[in-house]
Amino acid sequence: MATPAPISASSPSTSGAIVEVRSVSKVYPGGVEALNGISLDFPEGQLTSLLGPSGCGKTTLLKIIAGLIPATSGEVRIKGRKVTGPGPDRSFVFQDFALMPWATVLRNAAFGLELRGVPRSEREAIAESYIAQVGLKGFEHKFPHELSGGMRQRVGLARALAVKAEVILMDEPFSAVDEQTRRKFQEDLLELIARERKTFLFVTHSIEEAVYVSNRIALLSKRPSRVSQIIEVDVPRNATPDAIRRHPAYLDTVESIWAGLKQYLD
Amino acid sequence: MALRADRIATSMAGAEPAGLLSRLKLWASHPYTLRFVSILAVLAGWEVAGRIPVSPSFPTFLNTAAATFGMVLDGSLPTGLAITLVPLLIGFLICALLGVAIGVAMGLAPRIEWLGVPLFIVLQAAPLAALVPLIIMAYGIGLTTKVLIVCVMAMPVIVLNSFKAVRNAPLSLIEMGRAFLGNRRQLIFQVILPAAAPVIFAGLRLGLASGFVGAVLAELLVTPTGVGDIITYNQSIAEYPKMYGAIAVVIAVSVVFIEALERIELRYFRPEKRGQ
Repeated sequence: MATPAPISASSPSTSGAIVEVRSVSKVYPGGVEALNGISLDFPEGQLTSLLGPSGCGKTTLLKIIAGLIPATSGEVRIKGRKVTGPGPDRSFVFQDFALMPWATVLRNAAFGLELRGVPRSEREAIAESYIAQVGLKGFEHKFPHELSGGMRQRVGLARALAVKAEVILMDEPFSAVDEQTRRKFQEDLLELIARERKTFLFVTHSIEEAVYVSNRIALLSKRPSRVSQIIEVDVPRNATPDAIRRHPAYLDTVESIWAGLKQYLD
Repeated sequence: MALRADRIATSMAGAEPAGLLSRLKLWASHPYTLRFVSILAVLAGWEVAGRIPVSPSFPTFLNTAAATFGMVLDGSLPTGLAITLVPLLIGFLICALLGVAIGVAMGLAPRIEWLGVPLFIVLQAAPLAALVPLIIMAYGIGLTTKVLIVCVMAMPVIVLNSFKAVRNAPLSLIEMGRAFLGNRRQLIFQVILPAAAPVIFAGLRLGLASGFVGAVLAELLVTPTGVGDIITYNQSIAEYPKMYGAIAVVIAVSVVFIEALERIELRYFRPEKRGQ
C-alpha cells in the first residue's frame, strides 16, 4: 500500500517516534467513513494532542492506536511492532472515566494490575503511590459515586499510570469535568508529565487545552478526517500556569489554530 | 432536599412555635412515619370495608387479626407455612442457580440468546396457570409438580432479567477491561457480572414474588396442603377471617423474604451501597 505524502509541511520524524500511524482508514459498518488514510508520528516523551472539530474521528484514531477497534486499512506500530490489540505498552484514560462503581478508589486504580495477576499487596502499594501522585491521598477507600467528576478522572489517570505503560492514551479526559476543575487538572497534568517522562496522546476539542498541555498538536480536518496541520507548540513549560496562559506564544498559537479550524465550521 | 428547604423556610419565620411546627413537619415527612401511615391507611380501609360490610364474606381487619393470632397459637398456621415453603424454596433455589446461569449465557452468546429468548418470552407471556393440568398429567400430584409450578412461574423473569443485565453492561467498562488486558474470563467475572448484579437481583426479587404465587397456586390447584389447605378449607366452611388471615400472612412472608434477598444483595454484591 502506498503511503500518501503528509499534507502539511511537517516531516514525520521517524527518529524518536514511538507511535507510528501509517495510512490508517476506518469505515464503520453502514458506510460512515471516519478516517481517510491518516499517517502520523508521535515522538517519544512528548505530549501530542489530536485536535479537531466534533465528530472528526479523533477518538476513533485513538482507539485504533489502543487496539480497541480494528482499522479498516493501514497499520499502527508501537516501537516498530504492529498493533493487533491492546498491549502492555499502552494504557487508556476514558472520557467517561470508566470506573467500576462497585469498587473502591484503590481497587479501581489497581485494576489494571489486578487483571495482570499482580499479587494484591504489591498492586495496592503501587496504586496507593499513584493515588497520592494524582492528589487523592486519603480517598483510597471511597467509592466513585462519593467523588466529584474531576476526582473520578484522577482515579482514571492513576489507573493508567499504575500499569507503567510507555504510552498513555487520553480520550478527552477533561471534557466531562467543570471548567475550574479542568484548569487545575491541566496544571497538575503538566507536573505529572514532567515527572513521569512518558509519551502522552491526548484527544481534545478545546484549542486552549491543546495548546496549554501539548508539545505538539495534530490538527485533524472534519470527517473523513486527515491530518491538516501539525503545530509544534513553543510555550515555556517551566513558567507558572498564569505566565503560560499570558505568554504571547500561547496566545498566538491559539489564534492561528482557531484561524485554521474556522474554515471547517461552515 | 425539599425537607431542608422546608426547615429553612420555617426557621426564617423565627418564632418558637414555628420551630415546633418545623420539627413536626420533619417528623411527618420521615420515611418511617410515611411507611407506617401507608400501612395504617390500608388497614383502616380494610376495617371500614369489613364493617359496612362490602360483602358478607369479607371480614373486618380486627376479626382477621384475631383469627390469625389464634391460628398462630394453635400451631396450624406455622405448620401450614412450613409445608408451603418447601416447594417454594426448592423451586426458587433451582431457578436462582439455573435461571441466572441461562440468562447470563444468553447475554454473553448470541447463539444461546436466539435459542432461549423466544422460549422465555412465550413463557413470560403465557397464562401459566393453564399449564398446571399438563404438569399434573406428567408428574402427578406430589412435590415434584409443586416445585415445577414454582419454577414455571419464577424462571422466565429471572432468566430475562439476567439476560438483559448482561447485555446492558456498560460498554465503556468492557472497553476498559479490554484496554487493561483482561481476558474473556476476567471480563465476565470481574467486570460484566458485577455490573449486571443489580438488575440480576431485581429479577431474583420478581422471581421470588412469582414463586410465592406459584407455591400457593400449586396448593390451590393440585392438592390442598399447607397454606393452600387453610385457605380452601376455611373458605368451604365460611370461616372467612381465617381464610383472609392465611392470605395476609402469605403476603407478609413474601415481603419479608424479598426484603431478606435485598439485604443479601447489599451485603455481598453492592459494597458501594453498604455504608449508606
